[in-house]
Amino acid sequence: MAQTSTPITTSENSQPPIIEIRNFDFAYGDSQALFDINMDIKEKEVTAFIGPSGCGKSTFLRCFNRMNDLIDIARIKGGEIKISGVNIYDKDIDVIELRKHVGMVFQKSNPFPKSIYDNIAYGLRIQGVKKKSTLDDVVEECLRGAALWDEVKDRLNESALGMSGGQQQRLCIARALAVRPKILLMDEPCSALDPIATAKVEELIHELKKDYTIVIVTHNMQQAARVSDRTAFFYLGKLIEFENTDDIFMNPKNPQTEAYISGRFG
Amino acid sequence: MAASSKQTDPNKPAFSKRRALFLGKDSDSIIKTFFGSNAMVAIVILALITIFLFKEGAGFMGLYHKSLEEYRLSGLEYVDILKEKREDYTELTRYLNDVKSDWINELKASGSSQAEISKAIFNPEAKALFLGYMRAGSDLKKFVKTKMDVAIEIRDQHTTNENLRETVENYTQRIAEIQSTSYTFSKEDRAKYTLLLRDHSRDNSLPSEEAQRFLKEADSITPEKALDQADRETFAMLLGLEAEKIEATIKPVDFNTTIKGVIDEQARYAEILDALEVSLTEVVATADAVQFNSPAIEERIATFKELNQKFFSNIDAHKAKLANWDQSAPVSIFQAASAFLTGKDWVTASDQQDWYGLMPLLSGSLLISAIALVFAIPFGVGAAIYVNQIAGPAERNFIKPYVEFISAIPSVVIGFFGVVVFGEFIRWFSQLDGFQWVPFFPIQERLNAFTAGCLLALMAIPTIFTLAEDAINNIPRHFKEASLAMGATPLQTTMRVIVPTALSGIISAIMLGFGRVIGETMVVLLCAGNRIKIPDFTEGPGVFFEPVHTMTGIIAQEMGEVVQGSLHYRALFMVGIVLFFISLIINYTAQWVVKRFSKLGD
Ligand SMILES: Nc1ncnc2c1ncn2[C@@H]1O[C@H](COP(=O)(O)OP(=O)(O)OP(=O)(O)O)[C@@H](O)[C@H]1O
Ligand SMILES: [Mg+2]
Repeated sequence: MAQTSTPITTSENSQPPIIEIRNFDFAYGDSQALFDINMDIKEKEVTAFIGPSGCGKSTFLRCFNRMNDLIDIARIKGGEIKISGVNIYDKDIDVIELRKHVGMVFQKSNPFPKSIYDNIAYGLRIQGVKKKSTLDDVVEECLRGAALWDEVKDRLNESALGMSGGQQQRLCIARALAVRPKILLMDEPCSALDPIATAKVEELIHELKKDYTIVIVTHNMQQAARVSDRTAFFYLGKLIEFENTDDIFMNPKNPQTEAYISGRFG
Repeated sequence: MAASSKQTDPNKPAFSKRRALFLGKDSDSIIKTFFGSNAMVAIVILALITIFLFKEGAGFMGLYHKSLEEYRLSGLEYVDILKEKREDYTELTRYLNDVKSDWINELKASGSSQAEISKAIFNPEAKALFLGYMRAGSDLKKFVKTKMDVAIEIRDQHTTNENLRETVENYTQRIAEIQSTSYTFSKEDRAKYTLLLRDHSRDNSLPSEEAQRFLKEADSITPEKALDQADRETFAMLLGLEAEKIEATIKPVDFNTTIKGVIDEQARYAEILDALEVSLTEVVATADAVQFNSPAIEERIATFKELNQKFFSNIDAHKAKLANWDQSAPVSIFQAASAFLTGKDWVTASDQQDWYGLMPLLSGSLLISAIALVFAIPFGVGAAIYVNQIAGPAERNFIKPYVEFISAIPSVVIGFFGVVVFGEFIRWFSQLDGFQWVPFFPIQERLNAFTAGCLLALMAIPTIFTLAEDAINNIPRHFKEASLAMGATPLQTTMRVIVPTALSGIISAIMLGFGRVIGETMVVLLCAGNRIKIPDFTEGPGVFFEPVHTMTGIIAQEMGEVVQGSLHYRALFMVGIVLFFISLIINYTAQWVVKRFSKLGD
């Protein structure tokens, strides 16, 4: 396992990857959840993770901003993850700074029980920004960025919990944008939304692709096909196939991938 | 049986008949009945407690109103106004004595020998001042005492009369009972009847053959003898005679005339006051001739002179107050209510007037609660935040059960600890030389509001800790994750997201901690010092070290020794009712806070 196998990569653009994963092994206590993952994720692209439930997609995603640090029994057993060339599991990595760099949107929309304005401003306030005009500007910019501005501009001071589910999820995206991350991780962001709200979020992802590198976990094959440039298929903690989205859906190389995509999966 | 009946009818589907387990009920409705009846019992018991509390407290206002009316009618109120001036004078005397002992101490400190001190103290001018001041008031004291005795006597006579009337009333009832046909002689009544017959036969006014008859009758009564209509008549007649005798001892009190004995001699009183002013002025003037040789003492003497001046200048107002006093002014029931709710004194078993004022108890309870909460809130909430957000699993597993264990300690043990260890420690600490710069050190009493407050804090901490920890624990995990994922530090996450979100729960935890503290009895009874007096808030922080009494403490302390149904008994129930309402409000507020502010989305 120690030998560096060539990373599975879809290589036609030559620019260096923003996230490089090498021989990555991860375990919860004694049970290993990820096995020897090698992968390159390119800048300003949308990468989708698919695979059956329990295969380790969320686990893997949460390794990119070290959210797994919160779990006592989580262990990196080997390998490394580099973001912009820096190993994020190095001893002297500032996790706080890393998380500002790598934002995250969760499956369940989770706005704070505060006003819409305060939700967005939170990311700046914790960095010590107090100036009202700066905050105002950023709030507007992020809400516009999340295509939410027109819907909520008249009720910025109302509780975020009064919004619809879809609006809440877009608010969470806007909130994540406020700290100006380079990379945005999304763990099944649409699983609790209706088709219309889902369409809006997908549209948004399409817009955000211009400025951000996005990694999205999804159970919805059509969604992966619609929004992503590349797709990775995981099975039982292993990366089975990682290709251009079109290739993977039209022409999967691995029989397991094919079985999963075509829905013939046990 | 149910199963077999199902099988006997194969045409009907399985759900056509419910399965009955017991008395035709299925398991669901049995469970429902069981829990429903449990809840019902709880509600009924609560209602009974409430009703009992109100029933026992109910008569208080009427009785207290009557008592205050008598206080006015008998002139005791007037005497209390008289006493004000006497108290002022006594206060001044005390002040002067203080100055004197300070002076002696200062002389001692400056190295004077005993002989020198005696010489200074007993030189003619000093003697004229110190002794003269004390003697000048003897007329005033005597006068007030006489008037007081008169008023007390009137009141006593009135009370005695009331008791006698009640006795007579009881006799009348008894006689009516005996005269009804359904009455039969009990064993006691037989004895009583015999006794009365004998007594009556000795009555000299009776012709001798009559007396003989009564005596014979008395001798003839045996436990077996049947007693007839005639006996009942005689018994009733004899009891009536006895009641008449008792009634004759009632010496009716006419407050309109008796009051004269109290409020007469106003002119003489004025004279006494005038004479007092003259002689005191003279005495105080001698102070100038005394050689104190100490600026501090001289300063105090100057203050003393000012106080005297004030004493004199108040005399006119005092006289006016006496002149304006009106015995016939009615006492309204509201006055009785406000005398309870805002009254500053709680005096029981007094020979003059009992006072049932809530204020000293309420202020004591609130002061102690405030002290307890000042300590318990930061510790309880802080520990909750720490254990839930910061501590590792090992620490959590150690701290949580440990804090919760505190609530298992019996309160009497905590109180005992307070008396023997903590109170002693505080006093010892306040007497350390290094801390004498603290303005209110050294403290006088080892048992005071602070001691009790600290120990109550100990009891409130587990309540606040457990409930606040629950509240924080109930915050969905995703709030924390969202915050951390944005690059917030754990501390920022805790302070800006977790605590504000859990605030309603934390506040209600604090409210319930407050409820625990204000209802606690044993610790305050043992450690608060039990002095019934409104704490002197003008003393600044020193007020925390004054002994106080509490609402719970007074009930526990006095309930055992009161006569059932008396004014005092009912007053204690009124205190209980107030306590009940305070707890009710606290609990209601806690629930309201939770409802109002905890609209967590999920
Ligand atoms: N906190 C945890 N502690 C221990 N084991 C965990 C923990 N979280 C996940 N696992 C285990 O790790 C494996 C991968 O879980 P993960 O949540 O990453 O799957 P997933 O691909 O995201 O599944 P889903 O599509 O259902 O979200 C599973 O076997 C799961 O039981
Ligand atoms: Mg998942």
